[in-house]
Amino acid sequence: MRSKLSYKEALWGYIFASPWFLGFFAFTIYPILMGIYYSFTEYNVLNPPIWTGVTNYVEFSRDPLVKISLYNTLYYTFIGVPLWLLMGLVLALLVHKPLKGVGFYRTIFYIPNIVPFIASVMIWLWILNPMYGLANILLRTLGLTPLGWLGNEKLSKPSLIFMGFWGVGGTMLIFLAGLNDIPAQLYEAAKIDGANSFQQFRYITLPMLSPVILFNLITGIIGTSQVFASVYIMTKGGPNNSTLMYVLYLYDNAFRYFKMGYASAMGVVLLLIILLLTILLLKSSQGWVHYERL
Amino acid sequence: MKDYKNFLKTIIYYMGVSLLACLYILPLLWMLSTSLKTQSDVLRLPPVLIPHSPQWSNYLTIFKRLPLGRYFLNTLIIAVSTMIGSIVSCTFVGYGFSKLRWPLRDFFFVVLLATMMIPFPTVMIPLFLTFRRLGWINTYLPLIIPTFCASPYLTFLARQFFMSVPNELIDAARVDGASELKIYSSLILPLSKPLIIVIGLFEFLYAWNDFTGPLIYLTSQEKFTLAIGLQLFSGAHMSEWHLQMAASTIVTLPIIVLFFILQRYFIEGITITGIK
Amino acid sequence: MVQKKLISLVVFLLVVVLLGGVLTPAFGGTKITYWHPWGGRWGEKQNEIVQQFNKENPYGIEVEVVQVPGGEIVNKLITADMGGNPPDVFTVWSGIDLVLADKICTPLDKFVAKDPRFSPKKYYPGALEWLTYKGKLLGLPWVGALMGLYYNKAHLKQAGLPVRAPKTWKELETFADKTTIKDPQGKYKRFGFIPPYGWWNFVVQCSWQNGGEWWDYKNWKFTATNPKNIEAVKWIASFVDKYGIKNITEFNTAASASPCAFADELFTFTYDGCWTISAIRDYKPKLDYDVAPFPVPEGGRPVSVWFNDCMYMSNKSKNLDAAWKFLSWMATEGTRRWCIWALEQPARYEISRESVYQEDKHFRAFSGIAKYSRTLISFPLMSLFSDKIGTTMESIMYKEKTPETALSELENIIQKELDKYK
Repeated sequence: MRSKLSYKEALWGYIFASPWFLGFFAFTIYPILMGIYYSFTEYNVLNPPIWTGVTNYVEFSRDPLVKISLYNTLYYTFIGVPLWLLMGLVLALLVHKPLKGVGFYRTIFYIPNIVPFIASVMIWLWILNPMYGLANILLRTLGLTPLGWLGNEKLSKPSLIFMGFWGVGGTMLIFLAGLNDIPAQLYEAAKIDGANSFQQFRYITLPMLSPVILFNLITGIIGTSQVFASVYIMTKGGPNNSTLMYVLYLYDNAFRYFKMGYASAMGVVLLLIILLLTILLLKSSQGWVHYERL
Repeated sequence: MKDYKNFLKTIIYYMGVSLLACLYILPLLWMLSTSLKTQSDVLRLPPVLIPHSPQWSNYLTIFKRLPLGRYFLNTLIIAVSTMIGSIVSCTFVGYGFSKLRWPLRDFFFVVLLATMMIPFPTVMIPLFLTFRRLGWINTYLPLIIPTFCASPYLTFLARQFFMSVPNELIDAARVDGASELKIYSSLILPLSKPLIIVIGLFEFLYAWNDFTGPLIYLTSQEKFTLAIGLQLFSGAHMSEWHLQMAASTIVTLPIIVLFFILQRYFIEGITITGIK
Repeated sequence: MVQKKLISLVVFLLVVVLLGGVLTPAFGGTKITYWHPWGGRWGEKQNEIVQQFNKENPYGIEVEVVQVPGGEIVNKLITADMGGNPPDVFTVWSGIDLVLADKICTPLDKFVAKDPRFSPKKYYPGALEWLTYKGKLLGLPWVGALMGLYYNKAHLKQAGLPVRAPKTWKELETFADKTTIKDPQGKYKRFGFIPPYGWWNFVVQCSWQNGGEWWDYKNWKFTATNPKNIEAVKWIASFVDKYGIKNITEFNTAASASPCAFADELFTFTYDGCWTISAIRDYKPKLDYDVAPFPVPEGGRPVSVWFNDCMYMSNKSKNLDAAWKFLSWMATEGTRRWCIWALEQPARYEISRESVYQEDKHFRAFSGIAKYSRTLISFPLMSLFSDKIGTTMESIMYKEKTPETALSELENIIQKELDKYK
């Protein structure tokens, strides 16, 4: 009786997953396999790839720019993602109230995600301009020393992280959808039991949100470690390689230096690193993520 | 006394949220402000937020530079199609990865996640060649069809939400003889209004602003999208920022309105109140 | 019911999309495609010039124009070429790396051999060399780029200095020191001169003026560590000792907010290109300035670096004949119409004889500068070089490496890549 049920369920499982399988085998698997293949070749895109074994990986292990770009990326990811997550959660909690006008605030917090990338780049270059930007004007009026922001090699990464706070609208939305799923009765019951707002947050909100916290954490790490467009346009990796991110260096190798084989090796290593981190996170999630309703 | 405390709390709340809102609305204001300046005023130092003589004509000039109307239509087609594709396929596949047990499910779930971990420059050329072989270059198919195959980010999101649906509800429906398909369409989907709105909105917005994809696959200018168009305001040494911001404003405003309308729905959406 | 509507909407959209993608209007006459990177009013002018060709040409050739955003055009060219249908003709700012051009472009030697319009005598020195690789001409110049020293005459008057361009590096330093201004808090308000240390053309020009060399084509040797190069680099780095790297980079970042920091009078002296003349004309027409050749070191010789925007013909074009007719027209007549409108440095002598150039007193300086111009001969990997020299100079300016060490490392990295293309 049990096995028959499982067989039917398994079949349905595959049926439901089939659109993904279709896309995976039609569009995704060939490029990935080719990428892995190229990583073992000398491939300048102009001529067919030549098998070179692990040469690219050896060069990778000796390349000082790999170390720098990996450091920059991990710095940006592991400081940025938790901070942005926190901000997204704070914003979501702030606008999950049935107060007047809260719809406007929700929209305003999401606007930076809607504004086209070109516009937001320009805006940030102006805000952080050391001489004329809003940020330093504010600092000066408060009597503090103005900062070099993106022009200062020690402040460039923190500046990028600072800019990231402004893009947490998407995270906020997901948290809002998650908050929406929490039955109001839970809070009512807790209030009756005498729980204050902090306890309600810690024992109801957080656990109920844990599935989306995990989502935002994993997708945040995956996305942030591949940061490219903002540094490509705003800093080109400078000053002095302080914002040289991993995928930027990868891109330059692939399309500017005609080292597609080397770039592919970089891609494979990044994949392995992020995969490892994700699996670790998923494994740990069994300890703190609650899917079942309380 | 309690009323006074609540009143104070509310005031502080509104002050705090308004302060944050000022910071978050800054880009929109700056965009609007730049869009009304003349070319030489745009980056005049020191910068002014409110231009002395607003150049509303900028909003007409941009249509002279580019066929924005056609780009708007093109982008709308892509955005609506991908939105439908994602809503349908991500929830469908998400259900498969959450509430159904099948061999190697968790392994393939990790594979699904892994497809997000490969930097685009690595796969760009083989992907392009795949679509070339299919004859899809210079069409919208490379942008639309893959969204019908459950793109990983939104499928992951759907899976997380579905995992939270109580198993009792589903088991009860199964015992009642409902097929998995019926469970999916009549039980899971209606419970997931917020999720569906988020998936639809995210995919729509992504398609609206994406320029990497359209840029690689489209080779006729009349097929271009708004996002590509926004990049076409620069010469070799200078840009027409004022026009670029005017175009950006036109691209942004409809979405802001759309979002404002939508955000109400998924807050008021159906909450799971337990087993009915 | 809703599901049915949804399904029919999906089907409708798919049909629209497929039709839009598959149907193309049929028509007679030869059709070729042309990609260019210009947008804004420059893109409009390009398109206008191409439409003029469509109207005026007696061959029945119709050119379809596609504007591809400047930063992406190279990637798109690579993928299009790999996919088998690149554009017939295309233009790229500053050109594409010669190894790429060698792979995807039709060599033009047999076309220009019979055409007196393209005799090397008609071009400024360096113009055709920039597009030549291992003896093959791979494209034609669109417009040239020349760099000069812009100087603010008002600042010189204020500082009591002779109102002329400095002639030597020492003189430049002396003048620049006197015109640098700080505000009461000690922050720099105006810099006399900050060398653009990250620009390959600046570093190469200073080296050449000092008697150095970077690229020995005959022996395929990248000679970064030539002692004369090191001297030049040391001079550039000396500005750090004077002003401090933090002040320099912050001021540069702040100045980059302006479309023309020189016109905003943030600098007294700047090393910039000929296109800045029209930028100043649009932005600050009353600016009291002039242009001169960049100063030379003691005992050095005047040299300027030439590079171009370039036009190419794909070697996968199915209409080579039509493509050549279009390309040759653009490279002679099209560029003439463009230069008159944009006031850019022409690559052809005859265009600079147009009245619009003769009448502009600032532009006259550039014909003097063009007399000494030269370029790197058949250098295969410009993108690699320009990126790496930028970061190398940064490491020197930040005092992380000595010029000798940094240039030696640069030499090894680049030579390794260059050797793959011997």
